[in-house]
Amino acid sequence: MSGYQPDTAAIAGIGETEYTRGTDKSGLQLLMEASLKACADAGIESDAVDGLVMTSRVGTNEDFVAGLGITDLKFHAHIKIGGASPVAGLHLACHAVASGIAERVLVSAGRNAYSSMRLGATDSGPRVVWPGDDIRRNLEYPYGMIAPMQWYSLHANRWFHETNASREGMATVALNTRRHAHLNPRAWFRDRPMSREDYDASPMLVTPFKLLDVCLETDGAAAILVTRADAARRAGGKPPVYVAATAEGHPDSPDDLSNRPDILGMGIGKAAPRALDIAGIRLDELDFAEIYDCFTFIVLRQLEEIGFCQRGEAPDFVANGRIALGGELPLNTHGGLLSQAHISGMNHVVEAVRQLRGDAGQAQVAGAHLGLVTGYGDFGDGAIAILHN
Amino acid sequence: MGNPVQRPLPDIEDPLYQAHFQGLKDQQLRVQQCDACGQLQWPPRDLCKQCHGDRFHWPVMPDQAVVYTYSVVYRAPHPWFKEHLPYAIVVAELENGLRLLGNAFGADVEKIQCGVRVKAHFQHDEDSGVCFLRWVPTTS
Repeated sequence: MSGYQPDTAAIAGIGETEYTRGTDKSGLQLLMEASLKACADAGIESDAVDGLVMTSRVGTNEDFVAGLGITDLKFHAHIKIGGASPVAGLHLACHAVASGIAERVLVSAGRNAYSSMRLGATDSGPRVVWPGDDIRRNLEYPYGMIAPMQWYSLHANRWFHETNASREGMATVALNTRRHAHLNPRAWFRDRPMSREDYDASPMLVTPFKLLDVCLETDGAAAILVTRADAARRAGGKPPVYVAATAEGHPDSPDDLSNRPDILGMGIGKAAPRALDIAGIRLDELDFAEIYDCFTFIVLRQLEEIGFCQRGEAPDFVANGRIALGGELPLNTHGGLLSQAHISGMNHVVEAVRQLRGDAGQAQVAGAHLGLVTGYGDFGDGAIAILHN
Repeated sequence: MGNPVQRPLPDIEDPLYQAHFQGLKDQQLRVQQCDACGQLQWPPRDLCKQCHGDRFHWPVMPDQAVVYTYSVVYRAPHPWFKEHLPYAIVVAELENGLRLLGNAFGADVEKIQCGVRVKAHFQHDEDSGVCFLRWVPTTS
């Protein structure tokens, strides 16, 4: 028993900053801007927020109290599972409003990652805080395993070895995501074409990842405001987007890929059946999916672990336009982390809400009723949300 | 010219890892084994994952393994590795299932594949006093 009845909670408001590469604003200023927009979108005063779920490294609950003018904070939490944090934050916020410990919970994500201090901004070594710090420092950094693309390549190369998965799948995801970004005026790569030749010619960084298999670094923030669904309906703003179910999952040995008994095992594989069971839906009922895409290959792996297809089959599953707008399962309709922006996947949640409000512009999925959002973080943590209008 | 770039170094005095790093200096692969139940585990942990015991010894493992997974790196994530490109990160699996991570350098790193048999080599660095693990394909 999850204790969560489908549709108890709803997303009542969304907010995003502009997504840029280069900003004068601090990470905290970006977070506040997105948060204030989410409150305004939900039709509530920001001082009435009474719950906070924070998923960024910047920003404390005190910062949010000061920035938003919160008068009575009843609940707060920080979630630190990397790119799974925003959807895991939505998960927690839904249970918080369902239990009644708070009524208006703000979940935020963002950073000035491009302009400040992520990996790559300098050349002096690891800058991101990872779980299992002693393992990283003693057994991995000395061997030049320092960046996410290197860790995840261990997973990818074993996947190819075990399943003989087609190498075409990663290119399909990269090209499909870029085409969707061209439909989104908020996408960083909205005007930048990518041909198959561009993809093939992009430099190999770490086998099997080419440059165009890797997500963007951007500055920006996004936030959502979660309330009880009945309260959202009474507020009379935009139609609420209902949360049918959420779940979080963690792989075995979550701080160590190398000795994970099954390196293909992922948190989403544990979370997805729980969420589907709570929501009472089947995968083939979904109208679209926003799948966390720090790398092209991790989209394929999530599709498999969620159960859309068997291990090794995702490259075939995504072929022939199935994941394109107009296909059976339009995927990352906003351009994702690969081609819109890296807002730790909160931009995926925001896009799902837009789709279900019918506000997705040129990227609108016709008749969108039921959507899936995932998060993926650290060494395989996962989170999933099933939303509908 | 500037100072030479230092390779990222482990903390060889870390109490949880000290026996392993001393093992590498002695040209031995030592991993953690629970005194109480005999569970072998890697990476080392404060508690035994099987019985939650907190006393360990450090037996020597065989130096032969098979590549479980790997990565060939073409863009250095740290300046020390720039002059070693491309280099391989190799996760090699021992017969008992434990996997130890090391490097492979040299002209044939692109031949590293899952399933390739490798042997541990121990590369001592005089300046830092640290010994690094290398996995070298065995020709057979």
